[in-house]
Amino acid sequence: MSYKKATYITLAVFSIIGVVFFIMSTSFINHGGIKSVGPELFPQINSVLLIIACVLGAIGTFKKEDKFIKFEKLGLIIFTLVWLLIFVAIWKYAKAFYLSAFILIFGLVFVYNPNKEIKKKLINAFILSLSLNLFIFIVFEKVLSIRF
Amino acid sequence: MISFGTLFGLLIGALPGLGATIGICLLLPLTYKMTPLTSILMLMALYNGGEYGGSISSIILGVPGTPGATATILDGYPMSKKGYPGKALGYSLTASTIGGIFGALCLMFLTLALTKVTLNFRDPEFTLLGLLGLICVAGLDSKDVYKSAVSIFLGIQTSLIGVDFFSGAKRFTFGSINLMEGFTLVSLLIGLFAVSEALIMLEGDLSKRHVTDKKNLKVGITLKEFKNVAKDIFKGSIIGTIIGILPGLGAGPASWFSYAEAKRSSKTPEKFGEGMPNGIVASESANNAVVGGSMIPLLTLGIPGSPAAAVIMGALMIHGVKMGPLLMKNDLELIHGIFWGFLLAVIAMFIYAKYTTTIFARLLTLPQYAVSPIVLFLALIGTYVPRANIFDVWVAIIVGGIAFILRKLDFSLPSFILAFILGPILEEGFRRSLMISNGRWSIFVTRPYSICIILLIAFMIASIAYSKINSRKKENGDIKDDSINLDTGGLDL
Repeated sequence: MSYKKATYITLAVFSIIGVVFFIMSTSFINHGGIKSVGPELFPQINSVLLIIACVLGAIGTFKKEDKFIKFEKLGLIIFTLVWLLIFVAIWKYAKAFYLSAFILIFGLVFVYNPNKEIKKKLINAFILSLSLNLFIFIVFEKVLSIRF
Repeated sequence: MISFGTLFGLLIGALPGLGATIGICLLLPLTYKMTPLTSILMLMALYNGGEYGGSISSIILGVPGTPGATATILDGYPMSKKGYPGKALGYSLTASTIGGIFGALCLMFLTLALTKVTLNFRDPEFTLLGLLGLICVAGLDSKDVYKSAVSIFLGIQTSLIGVDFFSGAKRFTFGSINLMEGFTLVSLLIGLFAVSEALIMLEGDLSKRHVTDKKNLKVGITLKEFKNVAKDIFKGSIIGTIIGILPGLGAGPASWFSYAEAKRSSKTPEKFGEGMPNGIVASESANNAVVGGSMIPLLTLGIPGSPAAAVIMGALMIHGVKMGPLLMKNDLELIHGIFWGFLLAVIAMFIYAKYTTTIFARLLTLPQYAVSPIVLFLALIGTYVPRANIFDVWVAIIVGGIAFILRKLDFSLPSFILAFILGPILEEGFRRSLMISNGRWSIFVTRPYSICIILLIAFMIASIAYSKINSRKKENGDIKDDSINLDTGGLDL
């Protein structure tokens, strides 16, 4: 993907965020009753500065030479993000932290391991997953009394 | 109890997302049966150990163990990835020990004098200090100053989410109960640095091991290496002590201020971010000097200089010890016990850390395909622990994905996170100053301390502009660069 195009899109998104925040801040109610320093002042100043910085950023990017941004192993990155979201979903909705943690680590280690032997990959993933879960159980639940 | 506090602090600091404050809270119940002196020394030892412990996770995993160790990642992690984790930890330990000793000595000899100066700091000064911090961090990232500015304003905007403390207005909460307190610092730190770094690691060779030579696990530096970084350790210690005295700031801003100063004054600032020892020592000396510094206003005025110091104050109140000017008069034995005991705690940290830290460094002998899941998992656990809220874990994952893209586009993540930390300080000081002065902006330029800080801001802006012009001239070949090898700390990187 073009570096310049990606930068323009990102700066445009941030500018829109600035505009949205500016508009939202006009509706803040000042329960404190002091109009000159209400809750909207700082967000509005900051939103305007954000938009100005985005415009200057776009001008600065325009002057630069373009380059190509490479996303290596994009499939692996997307898989990781999705797998992490699944881990949190199982933890939250099934209330099964250790099961979801085991699935998370097992899945990640199995997929990341470049070894071609499936049996070795399965054993590696199982051992690492179990060890990490045990570590969390001992250190967090038993020593620090933190419940998941 | 100093040994126990130190070891517990090292562990707590090394585990991402926990930190000294949570560690102190966890050990608080243990102090009920102890004497006041034993309690405070155990907790101070934990605080000190925790601030160094945070650097272990930062250097080995690229995950900030504590907010004060975030700046350490910038150079500690690259040095570790190049195969020298022991060296990076050695620089960190040396700087932390010296910073801690400096803070302890200031606590012993300069308590009253320093407190008198900082008592005069009011809201206009805190506002200007916040502004100074943001300018320092904008200058940190020399790749694109406009994108650094965007990161800063985005960080401030993110810090404004939640209930306004002055007026009670709900700002940008979108009706969500989880956003009433805003985003937590930990979830953003872990998303921005840990999750995004783990995703970047995936693009490389997953069978690679960062450390193949076990002698590089040994924690320590040579005398020559120490001499090359001594100046930055000393400056970081001063900055950390002063920031520690100022209530509300703490180790996070102290380490960034110190890092920015080390980069600004370096002959090779372009090497920062690639494994410069000076970057590591600047951050670590400052964050450990904060420990001693934050105890100064606590003991003399009963005002804690940091969140961890506030919890320690709570522990002492349980024992019936009242912090403040009368303590220095009525209980000199306790005060002397605290001073000398704290110095002992710093030395204990050095001894224990030298031999236990290598265990953490061994993690880097594992192949990348095993390290990445460990980093991700520990980081997400660390995100959950402070509030026991899964919403924070969602935030860390989503922010991590976004940060992965922003890093490719040269946006500055350190600028974002420091703006997020300083945003509330800046706004609170700004609004309160205007309330006190009935809307007159002249309050920021009429006080002597404010004028000093404004001059410092002007100096920083001039310094950043000068170094940018200089680096542009170097790129165009106008200036012969014969200073390339001076600040490498004797390490062949």
